[in-house]
Amino acid sequence: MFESISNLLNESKTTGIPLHELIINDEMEFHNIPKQIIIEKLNKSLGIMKLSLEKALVEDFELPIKEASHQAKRMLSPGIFCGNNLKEAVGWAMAIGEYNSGMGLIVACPTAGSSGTLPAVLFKAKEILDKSDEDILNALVVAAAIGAIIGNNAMLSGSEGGCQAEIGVASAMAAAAITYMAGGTHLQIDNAIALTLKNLLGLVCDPVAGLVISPCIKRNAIGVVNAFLAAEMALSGVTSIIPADEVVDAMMKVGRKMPYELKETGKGGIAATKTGKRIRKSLFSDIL
Amino acid sequence: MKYTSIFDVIGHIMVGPSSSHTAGACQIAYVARLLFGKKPKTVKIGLHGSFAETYKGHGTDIAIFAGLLGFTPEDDMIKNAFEIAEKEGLDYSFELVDLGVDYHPNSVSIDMIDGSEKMNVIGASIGGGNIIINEIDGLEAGFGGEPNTLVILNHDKIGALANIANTLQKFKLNIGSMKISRNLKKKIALTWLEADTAIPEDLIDELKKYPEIIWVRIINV
Repeated sequence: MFESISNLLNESKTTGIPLHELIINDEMEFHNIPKQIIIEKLNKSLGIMKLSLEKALVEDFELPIKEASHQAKRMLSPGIFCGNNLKEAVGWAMAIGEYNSGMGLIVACPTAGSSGTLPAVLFKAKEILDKSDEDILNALVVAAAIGAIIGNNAMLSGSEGGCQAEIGVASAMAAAAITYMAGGTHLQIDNAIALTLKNLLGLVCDPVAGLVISPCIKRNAIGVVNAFLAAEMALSGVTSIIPADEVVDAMMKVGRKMPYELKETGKGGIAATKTGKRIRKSLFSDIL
Repeated sequence: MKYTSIFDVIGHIMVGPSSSHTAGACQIAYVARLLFGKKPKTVKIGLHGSFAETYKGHGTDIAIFAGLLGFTPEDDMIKNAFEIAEKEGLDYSFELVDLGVDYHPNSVSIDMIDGSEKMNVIGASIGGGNIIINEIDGLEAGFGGEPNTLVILNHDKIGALANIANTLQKFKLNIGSMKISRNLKKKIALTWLEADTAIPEDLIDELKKYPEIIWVRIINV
């Protein structure tokens, strides 16, 4: 895997090899697997993402926290403030989030709790930009490499670094992918990642009753909006003063300093509110 | 470097909601069943720590049943595991246990019974769907769900290990790592090793020819 985001982007810039090709070549060499197997595995992940969205939109299920059930479909109506595209993408991300919470089959990207963000952004961007199946696969490759680099230089779990390391990273992966899909430059991709991570820097992991439901499902919504926003800004020429790699480093440090109560223990943040505690008690009264 | 592959980030396909509390729990039970060697008739499940605290909302209990029935974390049938277990007449009991501070917060103790055959497996879900089997019938273990793992229970005798190593050589298998734990009182030993390549089923029959071998299992997940 590439050491840093700048390392990956610069290599592509100097060699002229497109990002996705560079990443696939690295995967082939390092893991000694043929390209065909990599493409098959990518298609498998993409297929499960697609299937999880399709099923999430038609299946009906009750979540352990009843109040959190059946929220996603409410976003599938015409937009009032958000455009229809953005609103629908948010609805898709929430739907996959609900599907995950309801024991549906998903692709962790990077985690199960943040599994709605990347597919929703990718599928909507493909639709808006009228791109091919190959284009979405290439964008997925870029997203995955960015996720891996952030994981190596910071972290990819709420228990280690808070929600910034889950939804924050999912959003950055998505922003990088669609900036690439839209034909953005290397600098624009760097900017999109930096802008995304900065917006969610310090976000805590505070699941009510310790369950991957609230606020996880709806945090996927901000993951989507944030990714589209950052990509839009970057593609419009808005720049980030701080380069992406430095934001990743800041994220790692913020994550390490975050107290234990705010790292997936269900003991702080919204989990520790009056309502959060009441829900916990009502769910687990027999075993507490 | 923790993540060397793009599939570390977008390649984990699993039933939600939690990689540790659902996918990992299923994986432990799946490996436990492989170790038992067949589908158990009766199971006793003891949930420890965080597993005991939040199993309900994460479907940890359902995931464990699914694993015992032979479903992997990628199987969409996991959510129907309770109904399938009922249909297949699996006799089960379920309790919240305190294994003590030495055990990982996401630990489960699984007793599997079929007639006179019994086995207890204790495993932990250590994050991101990764697991570790800590104990088999009180004998210390320490392997995860990696492919090409060979687990052997044998009488603790001179030459037992040499016979195992020779058999692997016969099958042209290179041993990547190998560990042993012993029960001096019962004079038995648990041996687990990881091979570089896939372990063929024929190897089991070959190993069983040695009188000191009690059982052999291939964990290939």
